[in-house]
Amino acid sequence: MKITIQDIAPGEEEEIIIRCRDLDEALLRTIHELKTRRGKFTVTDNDKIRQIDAGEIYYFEAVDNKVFLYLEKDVFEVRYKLYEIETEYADTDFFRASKSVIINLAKVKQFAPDFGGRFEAQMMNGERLMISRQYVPSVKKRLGM
Amino acid sequence: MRESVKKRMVELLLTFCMVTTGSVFVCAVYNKIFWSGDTFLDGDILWQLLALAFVCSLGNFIHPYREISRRRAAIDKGLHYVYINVVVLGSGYLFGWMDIENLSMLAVMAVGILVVFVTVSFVIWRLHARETENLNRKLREYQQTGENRHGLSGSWADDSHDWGTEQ
Repeated sequence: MKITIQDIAPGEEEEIIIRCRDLDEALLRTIHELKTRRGKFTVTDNDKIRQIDAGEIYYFEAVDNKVFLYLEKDVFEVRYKLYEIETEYADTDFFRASKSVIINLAKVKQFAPDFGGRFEAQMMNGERLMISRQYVPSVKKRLGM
Repeated sequence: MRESVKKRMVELLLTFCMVTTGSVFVCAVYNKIFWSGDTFLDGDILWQLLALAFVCSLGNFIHPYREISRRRAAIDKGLHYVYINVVVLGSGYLFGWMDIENLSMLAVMAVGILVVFVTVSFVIWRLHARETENLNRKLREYQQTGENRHGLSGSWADDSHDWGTEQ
């Protein structure tokens, strides 16, 4: 496949044009990744390097200056700061739920009311995470409320 | 105006209205029990009730907007209740609504405070629960559109023009 990169004038919108005969599954997957900006996280799993698709992640949590990503059952440390993940994944399914947690909306089973005007996110794997009052407006905005 | 400030103001106004309603109700009951046929009610009581409701509403600021633990939130709720008791009983003494040596007057006032506090808390909880229902409805919509958008079959190929594809 030929890849052409063209310089554009300042202020001009960046654009990706795909010229193809058919939209096959591989191409759709590529568009999907471009559109949703879903990257992969590289983690170490029992001395083996493993790549995890962002869509598989339930949430990120910062504990003692370390950031962990949580899958349905597994937990891995990642070498990113929480704010870096928040910025990089700002337009995706991820949202900041509290000072130490970023949640994947696609993995939230439901919300529940919590004490003191907060909400609780009940995840599809049964875990429960707190959504701080100060981050509730951004969740609502993300959901179009 | 910042979202948090706006929300605080709405909460303050809502609490003020509910506490005013509750205070009028408790005042009516209290008056019927202890001051029936007497000259307890005069024009000033209306201003006193409004002032009392406003000062009680300021107790909302005990709950900080910043992130706190569930334990701290429970302690704040307790402090809020103590604050309301101090304000109402203090006002009762200050405005001469009750004789502090009369235990039955104190008891009725304390029960009145409890009833209003629980009622206001319940109404706020119900509003919060309704907000949660709306969030859940929007979440389902978001996840459904997400499935259509992210799915790799069917709908993806069908709405390929949405991606700016030029044939």
